[in-house]
Amino acid sequence: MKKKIADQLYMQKYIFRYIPFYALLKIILVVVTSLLDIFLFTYSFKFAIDAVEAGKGFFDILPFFAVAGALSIITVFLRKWVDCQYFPICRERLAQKMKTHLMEKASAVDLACYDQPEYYDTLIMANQNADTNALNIFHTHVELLEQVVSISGFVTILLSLDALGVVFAVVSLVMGLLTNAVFNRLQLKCELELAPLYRKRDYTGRIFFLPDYAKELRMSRIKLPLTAYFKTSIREIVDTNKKYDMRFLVLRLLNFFTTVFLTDAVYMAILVYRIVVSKTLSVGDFTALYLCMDKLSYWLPNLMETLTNYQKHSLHTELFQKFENYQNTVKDEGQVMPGTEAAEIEINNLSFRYPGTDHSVLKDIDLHIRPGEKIAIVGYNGSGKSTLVKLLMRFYDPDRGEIKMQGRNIREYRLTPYRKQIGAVFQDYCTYACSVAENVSMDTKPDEEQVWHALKKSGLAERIDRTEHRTASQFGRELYEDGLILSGGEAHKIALSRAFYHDCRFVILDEPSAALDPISEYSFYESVRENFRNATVIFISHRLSSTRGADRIYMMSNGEIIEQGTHDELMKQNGAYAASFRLQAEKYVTE
Amino acid sequence: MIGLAGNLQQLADTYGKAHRDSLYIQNLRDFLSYESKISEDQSGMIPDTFETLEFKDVSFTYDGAEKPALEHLSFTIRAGQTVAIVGLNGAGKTTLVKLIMRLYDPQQGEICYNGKNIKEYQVRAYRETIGTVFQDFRMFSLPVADNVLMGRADDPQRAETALRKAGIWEKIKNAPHGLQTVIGREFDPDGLELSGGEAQRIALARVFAGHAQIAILDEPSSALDPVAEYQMFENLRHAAEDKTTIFISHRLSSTQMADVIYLIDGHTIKEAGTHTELMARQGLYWDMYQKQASAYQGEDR
Repeated sequence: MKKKIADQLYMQKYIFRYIPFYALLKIILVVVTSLLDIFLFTYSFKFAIDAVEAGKGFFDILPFFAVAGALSIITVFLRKWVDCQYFPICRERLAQKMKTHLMEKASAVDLACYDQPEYYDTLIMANQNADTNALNIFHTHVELLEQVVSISGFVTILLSLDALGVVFAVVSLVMGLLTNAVFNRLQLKCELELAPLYRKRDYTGRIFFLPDYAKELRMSRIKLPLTAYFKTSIREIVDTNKKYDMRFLVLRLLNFFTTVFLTDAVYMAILVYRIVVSKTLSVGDFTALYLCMDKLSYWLPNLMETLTNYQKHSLHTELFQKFENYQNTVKDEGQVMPGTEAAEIEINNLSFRYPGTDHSVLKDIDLHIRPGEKIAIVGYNGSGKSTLVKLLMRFYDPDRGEIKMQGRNIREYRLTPYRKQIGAVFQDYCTYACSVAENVSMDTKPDEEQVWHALKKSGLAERIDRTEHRTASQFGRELYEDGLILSGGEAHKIALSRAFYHDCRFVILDEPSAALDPISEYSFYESVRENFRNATVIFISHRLSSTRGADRIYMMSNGEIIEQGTHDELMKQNGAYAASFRLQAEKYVTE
Repeated sequence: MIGLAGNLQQLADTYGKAHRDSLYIQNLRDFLSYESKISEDQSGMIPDTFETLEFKDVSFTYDGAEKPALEHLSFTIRAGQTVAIVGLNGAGKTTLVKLIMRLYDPQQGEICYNGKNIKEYQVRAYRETIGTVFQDFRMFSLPVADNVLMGRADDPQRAETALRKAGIWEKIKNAPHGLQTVIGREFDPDGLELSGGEAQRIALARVFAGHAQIAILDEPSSALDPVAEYQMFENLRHAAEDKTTIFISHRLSSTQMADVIYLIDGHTIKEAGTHTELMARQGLYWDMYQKQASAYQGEDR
């Protein structure tokens, strides 16, 4: 429990750091209104009735009510202003500051975190709304404060008027907490059982609303199994609920009889007996006690609910702390800045397996790439080509062996500049809902001239030139109704333009031409030869035509380099490369 | 809150909530009352055995686009033919395929199946005559069997045969629960993670598993290595013996097996014919082919 409270206070510090004035105002207002509420709703009635019974006139009690009324109007006004006007602004301010912080963090964690579902779920997905969670926790604390102040106020009044009432209040509170604790534990168990079922239900339900799946849904009957799974998961949800519902009902009833029934029925019956039969209670005291108990029977369950929420929040805070304190395994501890000369790469005895697996994806890789060389990596699907390239970009560090650039282990370079000096195009590239210029430069202040150069080099300049807003055209229809829609091959060319935009000395292209038509593919490789004359280029390709111009070809199979050399050398060797090449080439033999 | 004042406050809150809800309800009503232009349940004829598919002067413009994606398309595909569609990036190849599948209706001209406008057929029945692998095909987090059979009656034998033809049966056979292994790890720690090339083979198996008479393959080999690509086209050749096949490809080596090649350029069909015919014309197809072939030809052969 102690740790839970510490966790929650930890999360709280963001509220006080980013929106301190809102936090203070909220706390002060809550305390003032609670005190006022206690005073107005119990003491003032007693005051009025006692005054009337004592034969006092209207003007004797008027000043008291005028002051009390004015005070309550002012606080109500302030409270409404904070909730309606000030809160939305602060909420956004917090979202902006905290989300940027979270986005920074998310873009820096190890890529490996995205590979494993258990990491991805708890570390990344769970924290994307940490700002809302922090705010919820703060509000829970404020509620707690309000409840504690109110309850102690009303209990004090009870004590001064009738100590027996306190006994009832305490019994009701204890019983309430006990039954709720049992209830919550049961509910948590039920929720844990339900969670995977809900996920299944939501997945099958969601598919129908996503554009990516729209074509497949229409061209097949996949919706039949999807609907069937949807129905099964709902049936399982209902069954799980049924399993628990009797126990829930009993606990709820027990809760009712030991709390609300005790204070509202039993205690009131005693009070009525005392005022009517034994005549040991004044009407003023009765009114105050009645109102006091009424308020307490509102605040006590309220407090229990807040304490329950407190438990729930602690899960969020735990995950958030894990995220905040996550230490990347790819360490940024190097000091050296990469130079501007063409990269020289040396890989010695490198082995790697993905975290959490026991299968080596790369085994004893050795290679040496001289500055300015054009290197092709070829091989079967799943032979480890893309993994090798990921290691070069330091998305992972090798388990054994080392990668050197300019004779230095790449861990000795500062991580961000090291990655930035590489012009990389991924097989599963993404385009973003920003302008064309931003999509090419991947930066906030694109150099217009450079953008056009890059587009020309990737063969997309003409296409963009024909659009109305040219490089300012927005990408996709998600945010803009007249956004630019490009075909698969054209979108790929945007990704290729990125490599041309920066004058990189080290370029990595993963399947750069798979989606290109023959003319584009041809001119793309021409363009690479021409524009990256001074750069070291590594490209992965299944199109063995493109590998002919390479200075050296590495053929990979099962995580090992099985052949290496120029095209001619490998053809002479007559191994796997030659066999693959002939398979592709045989169709092109012309008379 | 106590008494009447409390109740009134609650009433006011409820009213406010109801007002807000009504905005959502309006959205929902709009969605539910949306009349599909192309409704699956629309009644119509059930298609007979495929004989011909004919485009008659078809033009199509996407909603909100200024220029048509395709203009004045006319051609006929006959049963048993293997048809290749080629063209530069952005020429409208994928759009053409979407029109054939009736995912859109053309604004001008008509598309006829066995001589009758495809609009006269029941949409679902018509679409079932076509099996498709999209360029951006998707896997579902369901068992492999469902991903292959795609809602057709559960038939493990059929799924196995289709996976065999697509060249991925070995991998599935060795998966923890065989055909019942779920794809992806989202719901099942035993789930199967597939590489891009492997997923493409599952997508291809869908076509083999279907009763479709026309198979449409959009860039079927883009993610495959040379050996896998070769095998896939070999498989396709066998599987397509009794099927009409339309495929889009940038690999002009594969188009040689086509009975007819349509080249789309400038939003319409510019060149049509067999590989030999198109080469003889020395047009854009010839140019594309030369560019691609040049790299494969040389001293070592």
